[in-house]
Amino acid sequence: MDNLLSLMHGFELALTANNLLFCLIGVTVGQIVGVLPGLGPVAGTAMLIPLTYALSPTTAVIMLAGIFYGAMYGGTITSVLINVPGEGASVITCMDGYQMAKQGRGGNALGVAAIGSFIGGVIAVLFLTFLGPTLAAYALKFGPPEFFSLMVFGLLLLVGLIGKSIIKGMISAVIGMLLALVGQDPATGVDRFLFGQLELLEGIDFVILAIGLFGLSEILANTEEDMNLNKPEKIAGLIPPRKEWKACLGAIMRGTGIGGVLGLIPGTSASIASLMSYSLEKKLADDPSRFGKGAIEGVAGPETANNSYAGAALIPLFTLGIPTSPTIAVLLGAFIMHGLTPGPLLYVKNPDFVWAVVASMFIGNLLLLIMNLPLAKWWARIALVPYNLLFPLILLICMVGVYSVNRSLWDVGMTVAFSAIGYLMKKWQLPTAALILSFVLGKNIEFTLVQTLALSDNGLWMLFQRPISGTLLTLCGIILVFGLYTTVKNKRGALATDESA
Amino acid sequence: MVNRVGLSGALFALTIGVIFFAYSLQYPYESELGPGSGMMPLWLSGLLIVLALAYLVAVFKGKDSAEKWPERKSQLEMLFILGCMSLFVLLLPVIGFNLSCILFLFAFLRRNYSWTKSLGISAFTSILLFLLFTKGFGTPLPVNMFGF
Repeated sequence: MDNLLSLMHGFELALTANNLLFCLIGVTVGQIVGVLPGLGPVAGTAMLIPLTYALSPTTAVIMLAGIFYGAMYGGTITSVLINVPGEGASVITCMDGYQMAKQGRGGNALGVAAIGSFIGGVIAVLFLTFLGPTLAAYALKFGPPEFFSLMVFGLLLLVGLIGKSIIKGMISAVIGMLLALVGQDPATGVDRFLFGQLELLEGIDFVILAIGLFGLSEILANTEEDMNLNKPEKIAGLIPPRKEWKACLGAIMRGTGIGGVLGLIPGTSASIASLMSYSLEKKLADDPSRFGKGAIEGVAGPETANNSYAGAALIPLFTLGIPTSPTIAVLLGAFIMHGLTPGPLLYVKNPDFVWAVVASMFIGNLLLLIMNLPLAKWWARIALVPYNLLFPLILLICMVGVYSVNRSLWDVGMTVAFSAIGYLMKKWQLPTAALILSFVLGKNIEFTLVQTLALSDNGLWMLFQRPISGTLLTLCGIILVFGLYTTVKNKRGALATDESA
Repeated sequence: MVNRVGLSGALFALTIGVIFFAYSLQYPYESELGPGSGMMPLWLSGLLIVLALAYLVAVFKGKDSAEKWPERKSQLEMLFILGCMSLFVLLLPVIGFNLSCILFLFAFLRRNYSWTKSLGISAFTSILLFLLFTKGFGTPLPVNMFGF
């Protein structure tokens, strides 16, 4: 009941003209990011962080979260109508969605995707509403050893799951943590790794790293791709025929469950949620041979799963301060930049913020449903804006955005350098997601470790003596062994190439 | 045959590890409160060196999965993009935001559009961004002696 009252208060805040406007801007930008190939939600969210500086923390996060879940909707449109996924989570939608469009059922595919996305998104936010405060209240009992182990566990899950090699994942993660240590040590006041540059005294700004590694490096990587797109297929009749409703509803419910559960687990991604949903639908189908030829469940399930994932992934962020994916890590960075500390205390110290953002997600999902059902074909046309016109504008906005944060050309120069490093990391297959995640968590990991060691009479053993911390570290050991085994035996499978969203 | 892309990646990681390790030795390992500011970086950079060596071994054994370098056309395009961005950063304090921005966009757009169209889009975008940041977000942007 308390949660409902808090949510109502959240609606009061989210429905102010200013917050409503920025929610609309966020979901619209997210939709555009999703529609445009070559620009994922991580890059989109990172690029727009500097523009939120002038906003209040609540308004800023309402907008940035809107970009994240809005991108999940947008990616569907180009997958169905042009056979080009706008972002990673919509790759699987191309298989049946585009086939449906070729059969003249593109409208049905987009309709069921929008409805499924809405249902999945809203149910996930309901999870956040009711599960979030309970989890946060439990996490309030955590001390430095538990938080240290939890952060290491989250990081290792990500490193253990993504990329082709756990060694490369760990290299990225360690580099990210070392970069996080640049600047003045808050505990002792010692200046570390300045390399003679006073600009590094405050550390490396998160925006520099996020925009360089994700925004600009993606544009460099696109120079190897053909960015010319086909004309979109025509759309007619958005609501699927009555005989397909039952199958669609089942797929939507299962997709919601899969996305909701995976969203809670660090190291997973929206792409994995949609892939798992697709596999499940194919397994459960009476005639699996229909898949790949225009099966509507092949669109309904995955599209629901990726939106459900987007909502559920915010639960660990809000309650534990643990980002489960790169986009959430970018959001975490935005929280910190606006002076907020995600974690259990967020519900105690900033309840207005939490509930306004949660309420805005209900509103945002509704806005996206309205934007997607009747306007799908207009969105598809955005994807046809020539890439050679688009990318210089993106480059410019990124650089000006970085400059605006500290009004520093040094920052812009660093961003350019990190864009080149980000591109090289893609070539070396060093996962940039692991780097950004460990960079965001790095300072806190060091801080909680130092606190633990200061509290402990027997050094690191304290981490294993506390039940939660000990369990998490044991699980870390298992993940490490599993990761090393799959790397050595070359059995990393479908997870190996995924690190988006 | 050693994969050169992978080799460069392993050497990159090794170099970072060695540099950070060397610097870590300058910071105190312990403090009055317990761990010092050098403890964490020392262990992390040491771990990075070990991991980089493992990466290097995988490269020499031919077990690395790095991608190939791009074709010459893409390489030149990338250098062009990086060059334009670097030039933009260098010119910004000298000729101001608007002129740097127009030059930056014009360099890209002129390759695909007529010079009038390229100039028009560049000037319009530059003025729009200038107004958005200075008036909308209250962020002053570098200007030249003429105030733009």
